[in-house]
Amino acid sequence: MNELIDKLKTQIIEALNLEDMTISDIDTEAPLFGSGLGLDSIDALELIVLLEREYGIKLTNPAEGKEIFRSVATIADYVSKNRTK
Amino acid sequence: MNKETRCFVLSMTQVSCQKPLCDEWIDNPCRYTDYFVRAQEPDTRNLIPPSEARRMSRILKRALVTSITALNESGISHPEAIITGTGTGCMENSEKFLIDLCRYGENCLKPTLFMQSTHNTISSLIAIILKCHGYNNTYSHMGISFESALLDAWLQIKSGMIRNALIGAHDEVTPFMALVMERTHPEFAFISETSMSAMLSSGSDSTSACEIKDIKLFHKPDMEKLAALLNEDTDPMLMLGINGNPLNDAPYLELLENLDYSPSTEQYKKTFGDNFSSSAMAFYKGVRILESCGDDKTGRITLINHSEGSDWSIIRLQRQPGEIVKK
Repeated sequence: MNELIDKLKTQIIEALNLEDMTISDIDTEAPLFGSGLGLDSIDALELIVLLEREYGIKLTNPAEGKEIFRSVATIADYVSKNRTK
Repeated sequence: MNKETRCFVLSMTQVSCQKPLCDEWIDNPCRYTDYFVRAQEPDTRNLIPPSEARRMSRILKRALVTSITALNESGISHPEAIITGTGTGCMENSEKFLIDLCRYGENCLKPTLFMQSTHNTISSLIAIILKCHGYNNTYSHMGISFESALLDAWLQIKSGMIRNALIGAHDEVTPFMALVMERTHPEFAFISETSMSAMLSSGSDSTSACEIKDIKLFHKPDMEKLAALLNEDTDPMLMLGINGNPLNDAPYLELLENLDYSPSTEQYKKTFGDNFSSSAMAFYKGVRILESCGDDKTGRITLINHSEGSDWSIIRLQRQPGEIVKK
């Protein structure tokens, strides 16, 4: 799981152009939206594209996105259970 | 049209292959031998918060930084119009978007690239960041995009529709695009990138403000008629888009042969390179020359450019020292 978490952090930094950040700057349990990283709705769309491209996960229910994208830990948990590639 | 209304250049700044956001290079500009030279990137951190800059491509950061700098220098915080010229718009994002389209198909595309790959992204982003809700337009007419934007602003100011306008010309060139342009534009000498922003106003608090006297655009003009137009004004200096490539220079030389007088000539493309916004640097250099010509002299320069030999522009600049026309 730690390997997946680090990989996700790297992919998030790249996808969202968080240029000045490294994976050690992202708290695994911290909220991604609002406080924490302070991401916004466009970032949420970028994360949906990221999951589909890299892990074959297609999010069809917007309601579940809120819980999945709560933190890097929740994304990693969801990816590990639902990935198709 | 109100004949009394005039149009002045209050401030301007540039990002190019010369040192950005300053004029330190003017007396000793960098000389390049490479065919493709990218712009020197300005430090954007003081003007654009990192949280906003992270989604912006290079051309957007350059456009925003030159716009904010020109605004700050003009003392006007909210322009009444934002008018941009760009030949190819956000090329870097467009390339990434198309590559993604080929690689992932239509169902899995990044929203930021989708939103920020159109030509009018630049003008609209400037408006969003500056919170300006006035007239906003983008001209994308290849080599006369800047002149088209300038003409729009000039006509609106001269007619009294607006009192001021932020104009800009922005074009970026990617390595792939440079390869394509080498084949499609054999008239270019060396290719580079341009971002130039300027504040125009119907009045000026400065005694050194340069006035835009006239702008004319032509499509496939008769050279003798074009020369006749210049012979009427006999401006002592012509700023030409000569770049040292005979394919580009021949029409300029033909025009010069048809003149009845012998003006001095300046060339700007050898300093700034070719791209679809390069004529904006003629405007920039022309205004700077007039500003430095001394407090007791009236200066006049005519900027002449052509795009692929078919579209021509003539811009006449004049500076009358000691004159203040209140903003």
